[in-house]
Amino acid sequence: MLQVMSKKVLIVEDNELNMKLFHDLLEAHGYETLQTREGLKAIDMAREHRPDLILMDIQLPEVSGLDVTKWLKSDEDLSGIPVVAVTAFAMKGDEERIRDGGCEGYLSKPITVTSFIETIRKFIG
Amino acid sequence: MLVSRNLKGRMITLATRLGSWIARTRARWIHALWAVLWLGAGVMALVLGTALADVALMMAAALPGLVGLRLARAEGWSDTARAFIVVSWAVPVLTLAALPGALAGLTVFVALAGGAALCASRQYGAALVSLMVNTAALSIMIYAGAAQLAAFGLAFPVALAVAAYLALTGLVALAGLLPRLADIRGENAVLQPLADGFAHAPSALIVCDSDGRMQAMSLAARCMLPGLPRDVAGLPVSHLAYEDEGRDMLERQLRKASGSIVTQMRGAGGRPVSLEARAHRAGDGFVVALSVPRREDKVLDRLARERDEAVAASKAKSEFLAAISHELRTPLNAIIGFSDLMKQRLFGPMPARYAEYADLIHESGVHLLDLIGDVLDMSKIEADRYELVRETFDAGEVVETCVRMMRLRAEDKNIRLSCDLRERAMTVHADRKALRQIVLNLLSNAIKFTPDGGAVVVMLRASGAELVLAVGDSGPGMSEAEVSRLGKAYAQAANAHQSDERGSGLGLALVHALAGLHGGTMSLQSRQGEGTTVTVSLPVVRAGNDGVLKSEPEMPAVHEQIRLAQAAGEAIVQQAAAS
Repeated sequence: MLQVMSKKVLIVEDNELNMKLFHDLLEAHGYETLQTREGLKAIDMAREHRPDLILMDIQLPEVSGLDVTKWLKSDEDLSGIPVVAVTAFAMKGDEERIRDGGCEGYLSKPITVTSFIETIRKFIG
Repeated sequence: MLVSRNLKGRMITLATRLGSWIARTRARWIHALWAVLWLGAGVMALVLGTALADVALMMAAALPGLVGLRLARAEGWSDTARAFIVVSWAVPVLTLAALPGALAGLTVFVALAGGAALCASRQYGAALVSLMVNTAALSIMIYAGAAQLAAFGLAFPVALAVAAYLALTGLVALAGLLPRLADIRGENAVLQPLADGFAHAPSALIVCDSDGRMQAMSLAARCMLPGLPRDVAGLPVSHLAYEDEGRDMLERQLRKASGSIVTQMRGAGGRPVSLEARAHRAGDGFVVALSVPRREDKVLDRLARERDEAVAASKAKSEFLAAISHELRTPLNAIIGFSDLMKQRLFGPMPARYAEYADLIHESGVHLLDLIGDVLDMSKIEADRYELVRETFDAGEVVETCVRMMRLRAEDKNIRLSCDLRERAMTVHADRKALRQIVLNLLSNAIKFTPDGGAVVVMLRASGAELVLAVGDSGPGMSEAEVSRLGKAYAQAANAHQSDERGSGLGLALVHALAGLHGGTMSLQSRQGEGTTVTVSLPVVRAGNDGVLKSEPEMPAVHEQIRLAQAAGEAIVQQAAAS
């Protein structure tokens, strides 16, 4: 069997426990993770490490994950990286708003393990 | 007699007009003339080759005129302005007084007269003094001054300036006095009682001009508003209000000049006092009557305020709940996520007991999430933020799906869950998620409160445009007191410690609220020992393809159905989720 380099996922999440949860889940499924708690750093890290997917918390303390996504999508080099939004906004119209903001995928908190992994697989196999 | 009276009347009118015109303009003009005359005299003296010291003196004499001219442009006369004028008068007067000769004494009189006329322009008494002094000065000049002036070498320019000034102040004084004298003799006799009557009127009255500026205030009004400055003349009537809102209300009331308003005004010690204001037109201006609001008005006012406060507090509570519910989701994500991860044995096997604990943690987390969802929905409804998304769909299908979802829970307790849908396809125009929530909450409550081996029945009927949904159970039922408390948000939560069996009580309140949002109703029939039936009616049914609204046969008594179901030990109607 061919040894493939594991796929990299950049997690942008300010809550430590959720960060650990996402990391452990991804790790259990053989993904490598990069982590940051700040939206602004996410762009630098994306540029430096070229992740295969970005898991973006929408409610970040300083800049909104939606803004970070817009910046990522307006950057020619980075716009190709799929962004999956994770949010506790479970209000009507939120999903639409998030997709309009340029996020390719959407997961609402609390996540279920199955749908979480399914969504990740859909983008990077 | 008639002619002479007419002539006298005309003269008085003419004098009044002249007086008021001069009263309006004289301050500025007198100063201008005074300055121009002295400057002109100075220039003329210079041309005539008079000594430079004298020319400078004449120029200095123009100073008070120039100062006065500048100050007259300012609005009103402040104390500083008056002091400034007195000083500027004093300079040339003292200079002149220092000169030798009889002219010095004379000039003091002239300057005094001018100062009196200028500084106290509103007071006719001062004008009278000015007139007298001027006349006296004129007499002295005629008899003794001419020779002295000629000897002094300033005869022409000084005489010219003084004569012009004397003539002018004299005219001013006369013009001011004539109408005044007429007033005193004629109109005043009528006006004074009116003014006194107004001042002492047993009502609180304020007279305003056409721009809403206060002109006069009766003593009663002054007593009601002791916090006002002594002189309110010229202040806008909105100045009476305690807050900005009241200012706007007062201005609107003035423009409208009908009805009345109750608002907070500046009372004693700067504290607000609630007063009623009623504006009426009076000629070009207005008269505003103030009164203490009648008792019932006061009570209504207070009630309205308290209601506003309560509504605001309730809204704040709902917003707080919404925010809290939101915050609660973050730790829940970790609880549900990690326990889910354990349930799925992502990192290998674990002892059976731990696996059971993981299941329990996960289950409790999901339950908590449902509760938070209910609180959030309830608070959204209470804060008027819940928006229905209406779509056209089959209500029967939604009910069936819900029954299928709850079947497992019913089977766990060995409860017979039967579903009676007379018409499978019932087209409704409603919020699908809300209907789903209504059915699920009712079913979940029924299953929760029904003891093992009981029965739960769901029935759906269309009655004209009404969707009628009934969920009955064979549970212990409730007392009337309990029934009356249900459906109120948070009522059950307050008593939750009394019984482990009870939920938060939010479920039913939410059903009630969601039905209300659809313009429908929720009713509850219950008797202790006989179970409970909750019926929801929603006016959401759409006519079928034939365009006719079908009314289905009356729904059978739910309790009868339940009794039968239990007795027969089988579901009475079709098993909806048989597939």
